[in-house]
Amino acid sequence: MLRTLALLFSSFIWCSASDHPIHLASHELTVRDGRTDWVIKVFTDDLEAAIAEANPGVKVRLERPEARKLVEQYVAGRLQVSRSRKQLPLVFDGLTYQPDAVEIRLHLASGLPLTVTDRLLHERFTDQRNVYFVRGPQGRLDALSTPSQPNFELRYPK
Amino acid sequence: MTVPPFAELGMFHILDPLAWDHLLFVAALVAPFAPKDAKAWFGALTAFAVGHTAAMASQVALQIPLPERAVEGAVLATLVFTSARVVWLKGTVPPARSWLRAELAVAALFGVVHGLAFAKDLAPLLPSDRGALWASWGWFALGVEVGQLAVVAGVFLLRAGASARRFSPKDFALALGALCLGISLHLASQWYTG
Repeated sequence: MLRTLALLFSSFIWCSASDHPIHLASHELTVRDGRTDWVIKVFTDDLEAAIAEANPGVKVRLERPEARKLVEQYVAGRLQVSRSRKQLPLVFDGLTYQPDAVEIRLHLASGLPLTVTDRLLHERFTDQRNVYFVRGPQGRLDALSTPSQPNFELRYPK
Repeated sequence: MTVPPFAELGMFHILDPLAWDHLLFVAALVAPFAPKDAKAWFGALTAFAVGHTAAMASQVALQIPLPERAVEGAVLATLVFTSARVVWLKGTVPPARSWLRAELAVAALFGVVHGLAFAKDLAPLLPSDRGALWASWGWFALGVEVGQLAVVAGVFLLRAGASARRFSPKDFALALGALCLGISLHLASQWYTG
């Protein structure tokens, strides 16, 4: 009995009240007139930590203008888009900083179908989930990228 | 494809092995009840669910900036209050009908507090497209409900196990309430010093 109680009480020493880590990034794609506008929302602290890890010795503060280049490099290194095995250039349009979440805006001079390889934050968390919401002339599509499945196709069913 | 991630997030928000505030609250809420008292425990749980679902929906729609620390403190206050009450009543349930109405009102109010906490964690990453936003919110809310029902099932299984070992239902409720109170005070001290 005492051992059970000791185990119970030692287990709650490790728990915390408010820290509910959600390892999520959301991607919103709007496809129209042969162009795809791409908005990524990611938790600020997660992105800062990921960029700092990729750039040892660099102090990362996303609210500063010089962070834009670091974000652009990080995204370019971990998010690739192709069609028929030909890589398509993702153009970085900018970012909006908020203390909770950063919004990264990109665009692609192409519509669907697309093959996406998304490894954003996969190196940080084994349970990272990058959720895709696609809206286009033929309706909505959803997709998911996880560390075990970073590649997927965005294509309307025939 | 987006359905499972948000439902899963909602479920594991309740069953998070590293953050027990919501889980302990639900456990303390149903601790005094037997499965056969379905009207009472299901009523309290439903009132709590209505409160947090409405609060989360309003917060997702309006995105009012809330002081994060105050919301966390309020969640802990609901937890301390609910578990302390189980201990105070020595694991029993007052039979009066008026008590049930007060119970439902308090559960709904506490649900609002927990809903604000859910929204705080989720809202920054929700999509701006209305359809996708409400679908994500709906699945997250459904996942939360499934997580809560899993906690209730766990409490009733523990209760059955304790009963098989000749623990009285009152002793079980008192022990569970005391455990929740101990942990919630520990969490509150972490919050206060943190």
